[in-house]
Amino acid sequence: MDELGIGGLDQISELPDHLLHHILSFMPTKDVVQTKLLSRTWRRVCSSYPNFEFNLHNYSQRLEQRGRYTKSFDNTMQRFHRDETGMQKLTIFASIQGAPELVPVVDRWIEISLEKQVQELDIRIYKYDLPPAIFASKSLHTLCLMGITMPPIFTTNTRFFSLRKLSICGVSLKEQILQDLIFKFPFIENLALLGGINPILVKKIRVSGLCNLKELTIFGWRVLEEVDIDAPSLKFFHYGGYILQQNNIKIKMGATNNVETLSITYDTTMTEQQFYDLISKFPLLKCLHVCMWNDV
Amino acid sequence: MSSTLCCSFAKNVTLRSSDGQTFEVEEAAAQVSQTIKRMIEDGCTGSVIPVPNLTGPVLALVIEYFKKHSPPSDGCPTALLEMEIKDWDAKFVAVDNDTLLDLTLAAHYLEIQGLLDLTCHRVADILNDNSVEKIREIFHIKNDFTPEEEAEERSKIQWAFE
Repeated sequence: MDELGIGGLDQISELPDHLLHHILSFMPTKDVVQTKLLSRTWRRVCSSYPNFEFNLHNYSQRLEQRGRYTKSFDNTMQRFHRDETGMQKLTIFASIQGAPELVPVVDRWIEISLEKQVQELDIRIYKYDLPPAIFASKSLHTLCLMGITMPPIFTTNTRFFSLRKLSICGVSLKEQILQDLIFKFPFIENLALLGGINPILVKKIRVSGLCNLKELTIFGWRVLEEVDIDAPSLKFFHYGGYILQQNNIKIKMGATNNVETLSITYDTTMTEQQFYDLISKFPLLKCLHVCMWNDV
Repeated sequence: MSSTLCCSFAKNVTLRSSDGQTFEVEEAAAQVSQTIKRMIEDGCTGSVIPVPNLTGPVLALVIEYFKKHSPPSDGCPTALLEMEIKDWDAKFVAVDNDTLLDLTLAAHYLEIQGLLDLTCHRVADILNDNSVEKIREIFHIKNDFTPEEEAEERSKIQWAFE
């Protein structure tokens, strides 16, 4: 056993920067930042790390702690802004209830990320007005939105070709806005539409015109009555819903249906007939996962 | 492309490490590595495939990984099989730190994304679980900051320790 590094080879610091960044990608931001103290090499590697996560939920309610954290994160973002490196990912989990001063700060971080050609955005802030500029990004690859308020962006016919993965959860929106949103990203491969806890008034979801769509998740839309899917490349379909209101959900599949894996989650049991009706819509099925439970 | 049906059941390839050890492995299993896959596609199969960046013991470990992760012949992997592989993976990277870093570099060189994620995640866990001083000790990292510099750095990121 070597003691305090004497005699041992520092093999880890010899790894190429992108491998060290890959290691950091499995760590929470707090621990990433602490590695700056290891040595000069690590300080450099950590400073050029292109993933940023601001997670206010890790902090207690103590205001001064939150304030220090926010300020420090803001400094890091500003410093990165002046740097030449592009940004890979920005994650923001925060709450603006009772902290309206955070809104312009978050706006600025998102603006910086877009300027830095960010590829992945994960924004989870209840009732935050999402800046419409996000939908003009040409670099964005993955977008995950939770709880936010959608901007009224859908007045133009512009479509965005870079996005491959979109996930929305608990975003309150109207049926037409959701429909327009799906239409905006023609090259999407993975789409997850999660209703969330608030009753959201979407009765019909239509997924069509997405020729690259491989994986689709539709989950937890309380008043949904009809799902209409026409996606020839679709291989995985996950559906989870409520049939509390007796009116059984109608799932319509388009003419070319290549779904191989179907996963269904229901909060009450289906009748045998309903089950067979559903399964018969997927002739090429190879894997089936079923999860049902009684809510009562 | 040449393919003779008579011997399609288990085509093997031979891999040679930097220190000259040779290993025979099923072609389908070796193709878990994108680098080897390309070499096979380019027609390297007839002779021995050199793997000059890996020593014998590391290559032997990588081949174990190949065997466990070669695609199942009957298509759809079951949930049970996936769980078993996950367990196996966890044990596979529970090795000493030098070996862990050797495997990380091997995964990078041979382009084995699954193994790269696995080893990097394991390194990340070690970094997460230990203090700065302990990490330096574990990985023999020399602290080249002056005490003043270190104190200054630490004050800048005080929030990360709260």
